Amino acid sequence: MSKKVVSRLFLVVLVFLASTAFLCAASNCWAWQTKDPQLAEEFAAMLGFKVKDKVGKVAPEIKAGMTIDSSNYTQYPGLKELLPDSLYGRLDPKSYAPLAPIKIVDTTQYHLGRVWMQKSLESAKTAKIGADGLTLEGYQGGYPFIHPKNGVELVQWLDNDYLGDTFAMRPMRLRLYNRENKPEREMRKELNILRYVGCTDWLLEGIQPNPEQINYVISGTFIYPKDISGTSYVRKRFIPADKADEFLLYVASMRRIRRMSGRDTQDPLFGSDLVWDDYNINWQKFSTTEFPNEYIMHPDREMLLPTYIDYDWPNDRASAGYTDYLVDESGEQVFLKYGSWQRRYMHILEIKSKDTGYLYSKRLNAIEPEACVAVQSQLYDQSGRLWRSWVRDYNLTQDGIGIMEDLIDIVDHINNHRTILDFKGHKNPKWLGKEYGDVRFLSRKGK
Amino acid sequence: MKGRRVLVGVAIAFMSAFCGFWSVAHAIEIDLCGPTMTAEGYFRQEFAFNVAGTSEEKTNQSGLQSAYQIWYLDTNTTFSNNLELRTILRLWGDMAYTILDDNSHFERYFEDSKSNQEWQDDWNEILREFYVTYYTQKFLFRAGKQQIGWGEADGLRLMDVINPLDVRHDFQFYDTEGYEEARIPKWMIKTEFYPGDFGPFYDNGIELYWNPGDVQEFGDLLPGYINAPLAAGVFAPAGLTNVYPTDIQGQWGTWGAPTPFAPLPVTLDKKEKATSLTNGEFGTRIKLNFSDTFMTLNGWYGWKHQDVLDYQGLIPDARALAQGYPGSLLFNREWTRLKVLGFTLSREMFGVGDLAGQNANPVLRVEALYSFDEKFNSRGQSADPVTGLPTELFHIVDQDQLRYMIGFDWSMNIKFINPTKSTFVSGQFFHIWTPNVPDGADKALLQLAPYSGWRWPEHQFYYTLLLRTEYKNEQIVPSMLYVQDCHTGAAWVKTKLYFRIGNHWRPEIGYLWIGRNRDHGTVNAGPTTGGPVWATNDWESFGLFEDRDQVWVRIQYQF
Repeated sequence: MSKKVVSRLFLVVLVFLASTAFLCAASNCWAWQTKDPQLAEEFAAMLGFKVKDKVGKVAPEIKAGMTIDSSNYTQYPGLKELLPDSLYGRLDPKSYAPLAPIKIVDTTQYHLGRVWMQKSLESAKTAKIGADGLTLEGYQGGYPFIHPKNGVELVQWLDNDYLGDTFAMRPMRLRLYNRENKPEREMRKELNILRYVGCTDWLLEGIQPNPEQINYVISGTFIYPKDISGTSYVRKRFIPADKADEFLLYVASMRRIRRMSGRDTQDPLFGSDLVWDDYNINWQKFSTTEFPNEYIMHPDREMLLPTYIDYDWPNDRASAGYTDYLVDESGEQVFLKYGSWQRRYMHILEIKSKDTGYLYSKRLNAIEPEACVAVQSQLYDQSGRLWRSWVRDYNLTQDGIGIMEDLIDIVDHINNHRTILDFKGHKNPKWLGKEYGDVRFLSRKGK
Repeated sequence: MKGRRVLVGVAIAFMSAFCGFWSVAHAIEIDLCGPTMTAEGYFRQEFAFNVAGTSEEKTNQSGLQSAYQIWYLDTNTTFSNNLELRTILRLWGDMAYTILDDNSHFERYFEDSKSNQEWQDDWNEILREFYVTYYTQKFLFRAGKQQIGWGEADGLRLMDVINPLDVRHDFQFYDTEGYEEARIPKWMIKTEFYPGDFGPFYDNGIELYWNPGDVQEFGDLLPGYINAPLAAGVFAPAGLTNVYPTDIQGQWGTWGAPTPFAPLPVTLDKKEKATSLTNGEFGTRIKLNFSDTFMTLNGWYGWKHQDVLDYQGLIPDARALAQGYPGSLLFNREWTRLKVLGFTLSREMFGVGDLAGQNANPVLRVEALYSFDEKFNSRGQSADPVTGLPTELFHIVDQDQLRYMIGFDWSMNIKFINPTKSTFVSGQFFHIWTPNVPDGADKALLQLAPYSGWRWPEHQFYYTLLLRTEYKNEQIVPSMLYVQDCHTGAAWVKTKLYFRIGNHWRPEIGYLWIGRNRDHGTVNAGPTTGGPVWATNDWESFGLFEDRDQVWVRIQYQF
């Protein structure tokens, strides 16, 4: 073999190795690492702890670097304590929608932005629960209560969780799977969120004036498939607990705007497993009169949960290097693969419905203290059976300013049906204004 | 026969290629070096079977009556965050003309409509919508061929006055979603201004509309010539047994209204409105939100979709003379102005859900309009005392009308219908008040000339009920719409099952039942003594189509 051939072969191998190394490095983007260490320290000081310092006490034999899957999970009895029932059960390969292998990494410290922190400290001085026992008063933004003492204080986190000031999903995909966990159909929509009050990122004064007392607005347009394409809505969430959501719908197939009942929130959307009230883990309008609840704060719990990632428009997960976060439909079963999981220290909130007419009897929500978002939930029907469960990661900017949903796995354990919500979008888009949250949006979409 | 096979074969091959191509594609997004174009659409083949049996008046086709085929492409090109262009192309055909080309009944009664119905391939029809939209935070501007859906009502139209409905397919037996396919788009300019909040009103908008004279008609229901004296039926004159007038069906096929009796042949002169500024239409709609109520105030100065017949006199006519008649009756088909003011309102009925043990509250819907000096035909007529020939027929009358609807939408838990998901229930009550309506058979106001038996009462009531639910994660969607005309007793019920199979296939099966009017019957229509006895039918309201009950099967492939 001539030297020339050898040198060319060497070059080819070198290029191959370099490419592989690059891809490996890219796929290791899971390492969410703060871009502002000083802020991270101050944030931890405000919270009084770092999650990474709190974990590791439960089932210490399960360590970073391990991969747990259906073939070896029974070797780790402590895993049952680290995973909620709905996830642990899905490690059984015979279960409906089994989990993809869980690759464990070290726990990260997440944090949000400086203004969020400042407003949290302001709210800590002024926020209180009103005379009705539920309404949040004196809230300035940030954490409603940095250290919630009971369920009513903790549930305020759900209604004021971190959304960024704006975000725009382009698109949100609702991927439906049938009883055999195989693709059934898919819907796509563009979704916009605009926060009116409690802004912490770039709309620092919020939206003024705000005579309607809007908390935030969600608007959206279905873009696929054809039979629902163009259907658009605007939904306003108001600050007062006794004021129901306002819900206007533009029905493309009728070319008309229709008003819908703000209480009509308990049916799944277009046959998926996503219920209006479950949006964003829990989107019920908490009220003392309309489907009232009891809110119970359970002891904090250590859990294994998907690691957050960070990318922004126009990148998608793959182009940003997160090639190991994906929905794999290539095999006999569909797997939702989170690139890695890690131990988290979670606040646990039980929401127990006092009205037996409500679709759930109770909901268990696991809420992330370092990012003020809900990450996992178990929803029980009125007979007490586990009905639906959610688990998700997040796309959180590494300076704590800007967030986007990423991959959400919703499983209906009674009817064996599954919906994966798959997102791409802009975090904190500055072009998103009021016109995306009122009748102008519907007029524009009204085609 | 050979030609038919070839044509059907070509259609199937075309469809297969179409589906094969698009099955790998979702809604298409194309980068046009800057602008982005999205494209979506569908192919549909539907077969409808008339199950009413062959009618005595030969106005229907029992068995297969239509085989609609639709090719639909909808594109939206975005030039910037503010500028978009939308184009919808649609080709509508009816394969029944090919499939039934050797059916003697179809050939005899409906074949004349073939050129009009087999393929609607005029460019004006293929280019269904085409408009450009520019918007800012302060205003929206849209110009081009478009349809505008006003109002809140399902099954019957009150405030939806801007675009006429194409009556060639299923006449007007559409549920609300069907209107989108049946509205005839117009070239118009629509502008909308957003003045901001004022006082208790928020989310406000002011819309202005201008149509520079693109007058579209309420289907071209009537042909130019009606050989109406051929109306025979059971009381047929000698020599004319089993001869039925088929002029309207000959125009519009199996959904043509039955040809009514007239003592002489009728010539209809179409006075079409040219596109000109003087034939323009104007409108405004003000959108307001207040106290959890969404309201619109509407005004429209346009053209009535349905023409009136303006009698001109008896004219010499070779076709009539050949049959022994002195001539034919000449009518001008006149388009007249429509001037309406009205409002719509919707509001969630807070607290009612709790009271009724339901999760959701009902949403109240109200729609009302007042029509000023609307022109109607009446039964008013006069005759020359010497010759006995009519000097006036279907006298045109100006008449105000008040029309309103009160209804509700309610997502209800009805366990015996669907234990796992709510059922959408919508009820509506309609009242059309014609104050001081002329009384008496000789002056009565006609709802649709020349059907002289169908008159406006002072109070016309309708009610409707719509039910819809979804099973198996919305893969099976049954619905039912019931519409009742209280005055005539006529009614219709449209039930259908819609299937969502994957992302592309959307089959549908359905059944449309149309009930006759209460006073339906064949009546003696003259002439008086000594001559043959003519017979006609006193059709009213939905009863005009009482012999068009149909079941249909539809397959649709969308992308």
